[in-house]
Amino acid sequence: MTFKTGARDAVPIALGYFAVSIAFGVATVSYGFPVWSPIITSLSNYTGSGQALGIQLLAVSSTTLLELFVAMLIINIRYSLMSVTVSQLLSPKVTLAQRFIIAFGVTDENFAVAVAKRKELTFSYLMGVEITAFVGWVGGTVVGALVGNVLPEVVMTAFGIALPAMFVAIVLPPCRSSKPISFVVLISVAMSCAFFYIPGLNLLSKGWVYVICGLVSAGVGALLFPIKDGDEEEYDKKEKTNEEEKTSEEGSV
Amino acid sequence: MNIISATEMPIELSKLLIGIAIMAVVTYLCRVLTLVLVRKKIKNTFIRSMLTYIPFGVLSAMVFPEIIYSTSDGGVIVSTAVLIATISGTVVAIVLALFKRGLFTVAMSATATVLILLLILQGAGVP
Repeated sequence: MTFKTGARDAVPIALGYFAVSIAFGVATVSYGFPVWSPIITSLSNYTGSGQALGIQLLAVSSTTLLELFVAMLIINIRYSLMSVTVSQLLSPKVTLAQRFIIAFGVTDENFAVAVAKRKELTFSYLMGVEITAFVGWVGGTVVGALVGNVLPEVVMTAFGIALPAMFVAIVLPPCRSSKPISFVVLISVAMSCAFFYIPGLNLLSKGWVYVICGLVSAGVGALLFPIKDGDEEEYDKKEKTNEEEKTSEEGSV
Repeated sequence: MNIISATEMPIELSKLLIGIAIMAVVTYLCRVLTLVLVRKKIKNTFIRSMLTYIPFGVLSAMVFPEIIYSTSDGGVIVSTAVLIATISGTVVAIVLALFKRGLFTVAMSATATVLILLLILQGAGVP
């Protein structure tokens, strides 16, 4: 669990981020904002959905800063769920100061990749993941802001699926070996579809939807399939063999 | 030439800077509070189990059904070609993930599927 392992794990994230943040840079400049503004936004925020929403709101001159504050809170509240999960997985050697640094890079994708390790997380591993992905994120923003669309539009469109596809690769494999996890995933997807398609329910902001689906599906899962310490070990063992398979596969790619 | 923006800036510079600062502070606070305040290992079986399941719950809610709209601008499907290509990309991602392929393989295969199908469909004149 070294910096190098983390950096390697984050390469797909960095590539996906690069494509997504080009679009963010281009969009921000097209609203009429100065070229440096998307760059400082990516440097200081390090979040896709939040930045896109925030800049869109700022582009409408009637938006108040209070509205911006509330919108940011809602879209980002899921991170507190992710951070509490990361916190439980951290190695005891991680200091308080290091936690403040780790927190800056708890993005959806970094979180997903780190948690999928199912191992105790070290500071250097997390830095490997977070810094590598950050380079992609800021790099893409700079290119988008300064140069504009360097990639043909059809390539940009296709890259839209890269990050969601990565989530699929994180969520689905454990479903094959764990019934409780498949159950949680099914509940969450059913709820999320309801919030997406049912009129009335679809008025709720995305930020709340993620939090509600996550909490309810995990809560029901925990009630029906509580994990006792012994079970968890069993589950870890299974996952470890899967991971070894994965690593050898990745090696041959 | 990009240095001079194409359109006039919609708000004052000070409001933009304060706005970006608010965005950054709120985002960081959402991430840092639980990471710094909940440091002890949680012993309660229910909460521990919930924390094990939360990543799967949150991430799958973020992916489905939104992955179908991930290639469209602002979630509005612009064309039949894009829809067909994206659904195919999603199927490829799901199948490869179930066969436990790595992240990179899954992400790039889905992207390539969308790209190739888009080129073929648009070339064939599908709207």
